[in-house]
Amino acid sequence: MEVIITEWALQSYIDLKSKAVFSDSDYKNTLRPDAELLKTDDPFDVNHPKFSNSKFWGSATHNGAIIKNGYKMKWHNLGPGNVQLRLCVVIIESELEENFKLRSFLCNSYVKDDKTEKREMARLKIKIQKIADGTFIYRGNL
Amino acid sequence: MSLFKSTDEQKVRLYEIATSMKHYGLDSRFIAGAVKLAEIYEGAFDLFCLWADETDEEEKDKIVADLQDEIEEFKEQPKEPVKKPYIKYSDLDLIAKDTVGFKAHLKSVVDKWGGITKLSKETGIPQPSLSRFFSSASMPRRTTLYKIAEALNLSEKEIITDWAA
Repeated sequence: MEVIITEWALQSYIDLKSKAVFSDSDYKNTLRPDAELLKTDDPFDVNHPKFSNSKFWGSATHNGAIIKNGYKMKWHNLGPGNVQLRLCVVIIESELEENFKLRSFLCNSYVKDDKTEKREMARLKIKIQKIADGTFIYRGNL
Repeated sequence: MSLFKSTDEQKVRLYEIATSMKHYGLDSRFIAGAVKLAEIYEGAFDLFCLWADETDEEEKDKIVADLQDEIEEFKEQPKEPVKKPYIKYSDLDLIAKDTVGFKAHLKSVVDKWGGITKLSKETGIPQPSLSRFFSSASMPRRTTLYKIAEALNLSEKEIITDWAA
């Protein structure tokens, strides 16, 4: 599947990197290879060794309800601060460069705590609507 | 456009929360912008509800900053997908360093002029949003820079940065 890097993903990575939330080694050995699985593997494969693991991948939810087209990639005890890092992913059929197909959109990345999680899920709903509407900025493909 | 179809109950709830925001001391310009957004985006309506249910002031401030981020993004929102240049991972450190340096300089100018509280009153940008703006390494939005420039009577040249979102 084509994986699109949105402006939201870029800006959140710049901020997280400046705060040393993850190291270059974390990025090269963990974050990037995991995100690249979206290019090569099927995130809906119930037998996939990683995508079937709810500690790594799952639907985004808000107030207990599943957010349509919204997913989260999860990392635990990451970086020097042993944080819970989350990457919001939107998987949706969309038209881009005159080509309509199912794509993954990498969105905001954040350090999880209970309250941040709720805010980020609300904001993910806005991003999904913008991607569906085609009113967003992107930075190319992964 | 996939407009969020709010129910009558949600609309009443939205206006109730907006009134609470006014009583809380938030600027009318911010509240009006946030209400407009919450009528279009369900997620913005959710942020209103989170703000209303939240008792911790620091957390309420974060929600206000989130809403302001969304308001400013909406103002610059393209009508169709826009592709900006790809940025390599190896360039992120440089971008962050430049952006932090630019914001630190701008913050010193703001401090000499009267500080963040005064800037918030002049621009209508909530104080938590300005604090987030100056402490984040994310590229600044032009909308925010222009508001700051107008308040401080700065020229375009003084708010030019190599990196703007």
